[in-house]
Amino acid sequence: MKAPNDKLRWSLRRVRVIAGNTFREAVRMKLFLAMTILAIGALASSFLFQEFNFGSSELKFIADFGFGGMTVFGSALAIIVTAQLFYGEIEHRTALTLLAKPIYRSEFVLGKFLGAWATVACFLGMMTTCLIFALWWRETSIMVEYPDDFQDGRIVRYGAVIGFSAIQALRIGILCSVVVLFSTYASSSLFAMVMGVLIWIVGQLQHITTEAWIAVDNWLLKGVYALASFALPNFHLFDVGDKLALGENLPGAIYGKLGFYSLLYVSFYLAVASASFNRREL
Amino acid sequence: MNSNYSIIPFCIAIALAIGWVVSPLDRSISEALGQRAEVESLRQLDSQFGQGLSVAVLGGYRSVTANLVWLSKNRNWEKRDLAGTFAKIGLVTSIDPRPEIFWLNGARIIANDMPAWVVGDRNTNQLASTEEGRKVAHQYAKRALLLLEKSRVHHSENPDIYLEEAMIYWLKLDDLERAAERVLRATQAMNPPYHAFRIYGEMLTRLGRKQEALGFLERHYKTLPDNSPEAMKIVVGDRIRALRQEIATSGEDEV
Repeated sequence: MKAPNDKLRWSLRRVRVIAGNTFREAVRMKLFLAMTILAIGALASSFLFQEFNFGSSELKFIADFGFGGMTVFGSALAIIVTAQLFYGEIEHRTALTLLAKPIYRSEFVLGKFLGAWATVACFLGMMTTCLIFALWWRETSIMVEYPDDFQDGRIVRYGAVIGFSAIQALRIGILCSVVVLFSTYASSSLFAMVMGVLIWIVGQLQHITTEAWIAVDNWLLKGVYALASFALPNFHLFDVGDKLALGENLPGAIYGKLGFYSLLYVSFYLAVASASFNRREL
Repeated sequence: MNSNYSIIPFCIAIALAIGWVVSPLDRSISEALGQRAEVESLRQLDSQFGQGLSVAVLGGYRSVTANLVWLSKNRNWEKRDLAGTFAKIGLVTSIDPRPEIFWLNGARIIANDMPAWVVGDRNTNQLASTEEGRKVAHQYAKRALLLLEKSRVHHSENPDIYLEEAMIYWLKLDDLERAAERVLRATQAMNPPYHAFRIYGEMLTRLGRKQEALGFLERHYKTLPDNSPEAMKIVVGDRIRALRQEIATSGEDEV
């Protein structure tokens, strides 16, 4: 039996329990269902929008639509779900009941993050399945119509679609950790969501600020651009859809590099979130 | 109330340090993915339109946004709105520079339609016959070439872009020398069409460089497959024979 003055050991098991509960709570949210239906509906609408397609091939157009849905709806879901699940616990005082038990706040932070991330990963998994099915179904019918164009077999690289989805999961992992950080500090869930959206936009445009940082002469602007380009992650690095939609293969090292990049940022944001949450009076 | 203020400067410092540490990694990933070239087109886009559109673009809905803008451009085209059509061609090619069709059709509208809008339908003959008309035609031809030049970042190996430039140089600017140079580049691009080689041979002939044209077509003839209708091996063979005769005749005349 454990002595009463024994120091509580940090436990991954407790993290897993919190993450599991967070995930169950998240997938029961109406918002999750609505977002998933909306994203799949958007993917299905690519068949209707083909009438307005002038530039690219039909399969590339469908792939673009699916990739767009994963990125936009996945990011929106990550921001809303993470803020709702984390800040909701503080707002409804349920965090007090949980944290009254022998549990570290850092375990709570990590558990909430993993639960939210798993929810968005589940969404990405469903979207990937739907996209693969849509592409496979359309490619099969095109193959019947134009067999000469498919003499070397299927042209869609389905493995690349899964690769894209995995890379988006990394991007969304960073976004979830940012929202967790702001949730530990925020005084309303809206603040955490707005900050999440702002970081998302700035992160997407970060590569432009890097160019601007080098180009401008004004020191004040240089400082602002430097802050934006160094202090925030570059989400544009995860926009690999263009390459994959064009049928190009990504070098294997890219997956490793992006994984390392994400791990670094997620670890940092979660460490700061834990420090911030430890200091917070609930 | 929370007491996080003391850790904020510390966190910002660490964030900056991480950013600085990962910047080489960031650069290597963006270079491997060919993302450096996109900065310019996105910058152009942001200078013209609002952030909402950029987010739509960055979110991945490039194709559909570009297609819808292209559709709305047709409305400007119908109204013969020079500024609107020109701006939307620029916008579409900024939003989604990948499809060649936007560049090609955009350049055709600028080079062929816009001069006619300026002088009026009844006066299109002036574009070739009067000095003023030629000035207008040249001005828009140069604008079309400028547009196609911008496509180079994304289509440096696309023979159709070079052929389009060649047509503008030839038919709008009466510059056969430069047109031939562009067609030659088309033949050196990736998967060049067979007709590019025939056009280059013909242009060399028109420039009076028959010997060069003969040599070029002879080399090309050896690479042609026998059973491809697009290759037109028989036509190329006939042209080679005709050129040999022409060169022999002119040689006799000189003697």
